[in-house]
Amino acid sequence: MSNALSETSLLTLADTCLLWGHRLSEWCGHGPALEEDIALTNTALDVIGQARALLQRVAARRTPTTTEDALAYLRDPHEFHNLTLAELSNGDYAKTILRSLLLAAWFVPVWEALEKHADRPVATIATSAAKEARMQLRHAHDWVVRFGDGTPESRRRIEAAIASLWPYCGELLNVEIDGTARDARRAAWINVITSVFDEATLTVPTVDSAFTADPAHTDRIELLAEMQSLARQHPNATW
Amino acid sequence: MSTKLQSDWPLFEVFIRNRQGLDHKHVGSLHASDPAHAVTLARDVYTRRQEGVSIWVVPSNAITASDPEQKADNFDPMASKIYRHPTFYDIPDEIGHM
Repeated sequence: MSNALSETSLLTLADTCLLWGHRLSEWCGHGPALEEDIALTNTALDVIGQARALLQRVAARRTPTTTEDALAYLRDPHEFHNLTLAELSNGDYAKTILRSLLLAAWFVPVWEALEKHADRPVATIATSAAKEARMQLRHAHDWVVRFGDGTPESRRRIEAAIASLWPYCGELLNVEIDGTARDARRAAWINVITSVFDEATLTVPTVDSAFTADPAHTDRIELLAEMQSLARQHPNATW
Repeated sequence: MSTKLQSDWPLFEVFIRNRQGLDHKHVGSLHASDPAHAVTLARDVYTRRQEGVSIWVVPSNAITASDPEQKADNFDPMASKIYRHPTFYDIPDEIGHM
């Protein structure tokens, strides 16, 4: 299995997808319009599907009794490897949309690199995930332009979202994923964000200011308490 | 969910061409802020179950429709003109099914 993606890389991707998917699912029934509500929950299902596929890979390599569900629902907060950006609470629609852009712009080059990886099951996951990530990127791009180049209120909201989320981008740019070139990913991400922000008439903060945020993970703990509560209260329940 | 926001957005009619089909068929309508946004949303609302490979959207107010009040005058006269259907020809056996 020398070609295999390391467990840390698999979990970084899987946990980022899982927690981001859970945050997106919190919008179900609360979207700003029915159609957007459906768009966000579709994206939630896309990324949770990616998380499932990756967690199945991790589970298959661990003990025979380890399952994707055990990895998702029974690990403690300190055992998760997600990017912090994925776990943060949603805030308003501008913040959710900006986070979608920041994550999708990171995921697209990751999946496109992994499509060619020698770990074939991972390459298969990456091939379908790349299409879904490009769609998510398109949706978020569209909205960030509307927010930035919209009304004074929409602009105020997207600028607040940038101020709040930018500090978490340092981690995203620095994280290592097997089979992907970090510098190329970093350049691709900066390119996409710069071009979207330009179109949205927004200022790109300096990347130097993208320091790694506080690792207390209070939002992760809160998210997992909610997401895992049913599985932990009713062990081995089926539905 | 904000009904205000949706009432601000114009209505679009959505047409989808399925995998085998040659024509785009009307599947429903949705609210969107502009035509490009309508295509993006139509993908999420109307193609979730592999319904299509192509999407058209048309602003609903661009459609001019026949008047329902004139339905009888418009269409009832055709009922008595069965000679317009090519069902009175004998098709030679060599032609086969048409």
